[in-house]
Amino acid sequence: METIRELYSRQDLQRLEKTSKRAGLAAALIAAATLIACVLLCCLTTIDNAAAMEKAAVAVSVLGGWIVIYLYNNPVKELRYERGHAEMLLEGERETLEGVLTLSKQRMRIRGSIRFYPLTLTDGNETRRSKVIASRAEALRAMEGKRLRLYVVNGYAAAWEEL
Amino acid sequence: MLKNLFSQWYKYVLWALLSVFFWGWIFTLLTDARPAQKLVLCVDRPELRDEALADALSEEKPEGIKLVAVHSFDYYIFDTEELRCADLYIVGENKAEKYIASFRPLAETGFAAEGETWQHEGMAYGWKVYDAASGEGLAASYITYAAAGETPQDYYLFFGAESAHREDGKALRLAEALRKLS
Repeated sequence: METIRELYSRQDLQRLEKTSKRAGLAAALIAAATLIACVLLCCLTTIDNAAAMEKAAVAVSVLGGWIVIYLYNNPVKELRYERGHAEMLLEGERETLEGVLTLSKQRMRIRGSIRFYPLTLTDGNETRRSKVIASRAEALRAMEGKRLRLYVVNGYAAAWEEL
Repeated sequence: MLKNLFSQWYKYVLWALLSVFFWGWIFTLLTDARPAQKLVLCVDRPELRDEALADALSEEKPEGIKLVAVHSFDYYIFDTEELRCADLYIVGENKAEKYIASFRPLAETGFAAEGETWQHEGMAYGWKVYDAASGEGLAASYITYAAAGETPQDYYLFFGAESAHREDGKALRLAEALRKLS
């Protein structure tokens, strides 16, 4: 008998939560450090050094801001989306689909959410569609062409077993 | 990851622009002095090494003056009141008539205008600082009086009618310092 393979475990969820918090904290710390550096530059400003201090404040602010924007738009948001998705897969009500797996090579994204690959399960004449989160798609990629039972939550693959 | 970075380029550009404007505003507030403690020269030319000219003029800063500021007219796009209260102006011949209400006759300033002057209703208001025919001008290493492709015109130095330094002679000292600049 085949075992059910989960895409996410409780430990994965905890790890995602921890990493997401760390990335958020790093972005907040860099933002705070940038602000403190700029305030310090303002405090050290005199009429004679004002032009140099202004350039320094702009440079610090631009660089710090860019790092924060990058962190927020990439690791922080991505980890939050994935954590929310993992939570949904673990908590949500599951339905099952059976068939031979075909996984698309074209990665897609829902605006403000996760990246995913569309997949289909073909059982005779019947074709059922679903999706799998891109960061966990490799596990399913290895099962392409095989007959599977897929456990799906809200249209997303949560677990599978080979039949 | 790189694709992500480039797809959001506008956020990085917007942040850079906001930083430049925000810190420009903050440092203007930080370094600004009260009208009685500063001397302001406004130049009606966009091509201007304002900081370098202010530094050069600051070398002979009169007592009690904390700041010598040089600004292009563009600087006052949001604050025409401060433009009206400047101590000295350098304005082109074709705009002198337009700003005449902001200028004081040279006779009231104590300034010894040698050479050509700009006259209005028989009174001398401006002293010629740039001659379009010869291309020679005062502080020409700081002010580009005629840009490429532009029809050159004469420029004149005017004293501000609303200047805070009309009576104490400090605007006159600034004009004398400007006169010494090549």
